[in-house]
Amino acid sequence: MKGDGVPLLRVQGLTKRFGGVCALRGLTLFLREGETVGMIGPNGSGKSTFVNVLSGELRPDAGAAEFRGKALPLGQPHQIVRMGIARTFQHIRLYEAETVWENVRVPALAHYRRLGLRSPDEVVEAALADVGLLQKAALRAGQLTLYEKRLLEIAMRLATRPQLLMLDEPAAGLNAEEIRQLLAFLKALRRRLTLFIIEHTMRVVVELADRVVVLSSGEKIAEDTPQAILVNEEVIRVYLGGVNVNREGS
Amino acid sequence: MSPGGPIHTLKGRLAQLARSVGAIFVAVVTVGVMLILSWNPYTAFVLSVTLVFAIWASGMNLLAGYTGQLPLMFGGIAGLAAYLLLYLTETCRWPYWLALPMALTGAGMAGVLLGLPSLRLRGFYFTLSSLVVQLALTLFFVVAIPFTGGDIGRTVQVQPRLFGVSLQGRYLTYTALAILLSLTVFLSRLVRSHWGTFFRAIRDDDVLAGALGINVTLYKVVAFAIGSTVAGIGGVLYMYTVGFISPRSYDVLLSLTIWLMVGFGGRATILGPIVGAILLSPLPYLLQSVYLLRDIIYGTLVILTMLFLPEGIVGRLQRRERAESRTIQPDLSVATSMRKA
Repeated sequence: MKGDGVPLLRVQGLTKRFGGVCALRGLTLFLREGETVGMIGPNGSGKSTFVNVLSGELRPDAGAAEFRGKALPLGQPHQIVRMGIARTFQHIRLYEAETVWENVRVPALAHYRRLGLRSPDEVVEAALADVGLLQKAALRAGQLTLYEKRLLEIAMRLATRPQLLMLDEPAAGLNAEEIRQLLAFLKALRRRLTLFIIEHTMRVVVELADRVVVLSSGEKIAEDTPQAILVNEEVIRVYLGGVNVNREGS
Repeated sequence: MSPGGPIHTLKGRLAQLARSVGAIFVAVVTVGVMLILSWNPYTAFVLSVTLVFAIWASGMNLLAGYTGQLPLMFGGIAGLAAYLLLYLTETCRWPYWLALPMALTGAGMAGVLLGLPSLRLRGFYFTLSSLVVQLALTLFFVVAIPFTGGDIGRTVQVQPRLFGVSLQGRYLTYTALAILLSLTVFLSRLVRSHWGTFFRAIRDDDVLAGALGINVTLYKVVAFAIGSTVAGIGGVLYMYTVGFISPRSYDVLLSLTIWLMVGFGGRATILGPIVGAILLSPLPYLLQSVYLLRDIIYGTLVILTMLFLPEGIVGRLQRRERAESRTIQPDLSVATSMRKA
């Protein structure tokens, strides 16, 4: 098992409320450098809220986070990206009217100087080559297939040169063949990045994650290897609706 | 998002050269016509007003067109600069060239300070909140009588002087023209730089822009400061062109009129707002003889343009040009391998 590296991210007592609804209840979590952590949970359990808080889009009501020993400026998305954390969205967000190249050029322009490079085009070319979209650089983003759009989203994050990449349901809406391709791509990607993946497709979590965190009503109810999670009674009851996924073979 | 992209063909470069030569030709002819027209005091006045509106429209375009914020307080900020300059020069007797930077800086800072709470808002809610600020500014102009002269307004007593020449009549027209040309060059360079890319990225999706590492608040504030300063420049020029200042000169209708010119000419294009101002702002003067039909003609023209050219005149032309250039783009793999070689 991977994940014996130094702690990359520490999250302590993260709480987020929306009016009377408590989306996160004192969540504590850590990620080691180089490992891949999956997060599962029923709809509304706080998974996306967790990513939204950690990426700075939402400010927490309580709690703190450290990245490489430095406090994360929660509520400041651009600073968090500069520290080396990038995230994708559950619903794909792209500049659909612009070309693939121009989409990746936005983050490349924002970061190439920080990365010590002379031209943003170097960053764009490398990111598009990473995801295999270089041949489609002149197409408009809106013309891509859903799977290609997911790859473009990831390319845009790779252009920020992150150390931790948080993916919010990357397999949502993809067919079986596309999921297979995505898995192959992410398996290659995890060799050089720490990945945090929110996913409903158990196959993706089981095949990719070194460790799985299960949320329910904003609380962590389990944290273990994917194999152990699949037979965890509490997880089966809360998330899998009493169905043993191993037996069902999903 | 960036105007160029990775592909530069010979055909594309020739087309760009032809466009540049065409643009220079049109600019020279326009300036020539303006110089001829400026010898008549009345046409000089209409020209000055047109140029002031072109300056205003260019400034508002940076906000409404490139960063996606429609600031209905634009007229109020313009008024603030004008009132401040008049107060400093005529009540406090400050030298003009000291008072002018103060007034423009004041407009820029006021725009940012009044706009800051609104910057957290998006789209319709931003516009609504800027309307409230505009109404508050208009109310201030009415009640702050020692500063503004109240509802009856103030007449300009002393025109500014530059190199011993009083800036009125055609000299004011030349000043406005020089400012418009400088502003156009500045804005053109700005929107073609990474600033322009980030402005458009924020306009199209500010959450995504933030997630890509762009400091959304900073870029919005900078756009607001530049837009407000341009509003102030226009406000000052308008005051000296008309020779009179009152709260009505800088109310919400002014903001809407400028916005109309931006939309008419073409949002998020450099030339669009200028074209909009040149076509729309002289109309009330040209149609004075048929003043009963004036508003109907004006309104019909605007509605027809919005119906048939929703991106504005220049916006439509540029879209067609982009569509044509896409059809001649070669396969990127070829371009990439050539670049690598």
